[in-house]
Amino acid sequence: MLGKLLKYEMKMFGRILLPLYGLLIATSVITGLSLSAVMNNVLDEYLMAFMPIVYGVILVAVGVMTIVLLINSFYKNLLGREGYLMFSLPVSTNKLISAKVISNVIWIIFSVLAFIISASALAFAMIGLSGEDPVTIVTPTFEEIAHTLSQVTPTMIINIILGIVVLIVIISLMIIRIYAAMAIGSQWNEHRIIGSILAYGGFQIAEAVIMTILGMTGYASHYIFALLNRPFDMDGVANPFGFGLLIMIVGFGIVAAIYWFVTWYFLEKRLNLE
Amino acid sequence: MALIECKDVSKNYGSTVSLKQVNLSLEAGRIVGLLGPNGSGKTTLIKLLEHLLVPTSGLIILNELAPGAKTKSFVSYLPDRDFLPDWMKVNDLIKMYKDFYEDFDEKIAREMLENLHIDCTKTIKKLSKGNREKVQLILTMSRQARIYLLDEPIAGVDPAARDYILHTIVSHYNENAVVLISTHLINDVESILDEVVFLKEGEVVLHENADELREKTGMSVDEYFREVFKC
Repeated sequence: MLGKLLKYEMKMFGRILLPLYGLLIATSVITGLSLSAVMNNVLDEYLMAFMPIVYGVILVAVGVMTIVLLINSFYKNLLGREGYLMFSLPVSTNKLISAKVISNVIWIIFSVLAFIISASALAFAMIGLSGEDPVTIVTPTFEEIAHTLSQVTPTMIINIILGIVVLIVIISLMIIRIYAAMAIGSQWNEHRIIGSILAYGGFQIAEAVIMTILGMTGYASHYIFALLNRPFDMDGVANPFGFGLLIMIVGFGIVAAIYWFVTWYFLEKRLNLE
Repeated sequence: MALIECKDVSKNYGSTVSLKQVNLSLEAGRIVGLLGPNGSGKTTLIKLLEHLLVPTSGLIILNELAPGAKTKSFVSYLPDRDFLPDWMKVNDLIKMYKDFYEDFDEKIAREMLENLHIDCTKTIKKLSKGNREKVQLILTMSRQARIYLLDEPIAGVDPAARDYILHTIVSHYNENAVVLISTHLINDVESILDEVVFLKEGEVVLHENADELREKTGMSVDEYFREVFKC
């Protein structure tokens, strides 16, 4: 059932974001071509300013739309009128939340990828018209690749994987924090948006206070080291960077789990549809 | 064995009492009218049965199960408002219902949509209000569910469509199912009701067989309703 839910989530986002991604990448190519045309005195200089502005506007639109859809897909689809449809499906509340979080993580990553691709396309187009062969400039030689690979250690691979997990956990935390705030905001029949914003502000303050207390006293690190039966220093740790990432995963994971529970509680026990 | 069983079900919103100690037992093979004036708790009771709300106290059993994800696979619910995503085409919704509800019968749905001349390639947004309500009802009734919860199914459509809708309800439920229709347009639905439940200020004040009620009171259900709920 989670797969089916995801399918509909992906469709809901895709019909708006995919065309935007296409537009972004197309604009980046045109921008790159026009910039190099200006540099080669083929085109007037006013284009120098014009196309990058268009590219910038579309870039901002992709970013804003990703966030707007993130909020709207929860607010409208679960807490608004469409909630009558979603909560009548034979799926658990946890699955509904999971589908939202997973699809939003995916679309945030897609939006970042679309930016990276468009920026690369822009660079390629610029180099292309400057007369140089973009492929030879950007592509590393076989020796370079072999040299880089020979330096990769298992620890590095572990750390890269841990780093990716940290990123996904942080993105999920950001998403579920917004959901929890909206789930609380929906308890009011009017002023739902104000309620959500207040709840979100409250979360941020609570997190800051707790972080300050933990940071000042160092309790968290003490406890973790005590649990591992080690003295409180990093000397005995084989991979201190990876250990740090692991602590981040656990720490952010716990915060995300708390927000998940808050979201679940209000949707399952105190649902208040529009 | 009752398909719908409510034992001392109460629901409060803060200090406002919406339902008070409701006891109700509904069997399969019946079309039941849930009748009461505005604010009497009809929608609250239906939402409790659909698990969109949780009772403050009391117990609800649907076909031996507590309301939840499992019961939703055999409960077909029509809310009292537009609930379909407006960017979706009717065709998309048929696919979605087929995906999620094993008991959804696409053939019946398409037949009804065709009878009512509804263009399935249109998005919900582009349909008229009346047609939107018809699509909602068709999707709800095209499931071979055990329990149908219809919250004001005919409030927004013209009288001619009302007849078609009522005919749809009668012809598409089976002997294993119970249909609970909440409405205050009693005159329109009276002919199809087997049982009536009167809700007054959150309490069940009457639950009777429709024919017996008419015989006993010498009035139609509509007339009797007007007398009970006289302002």
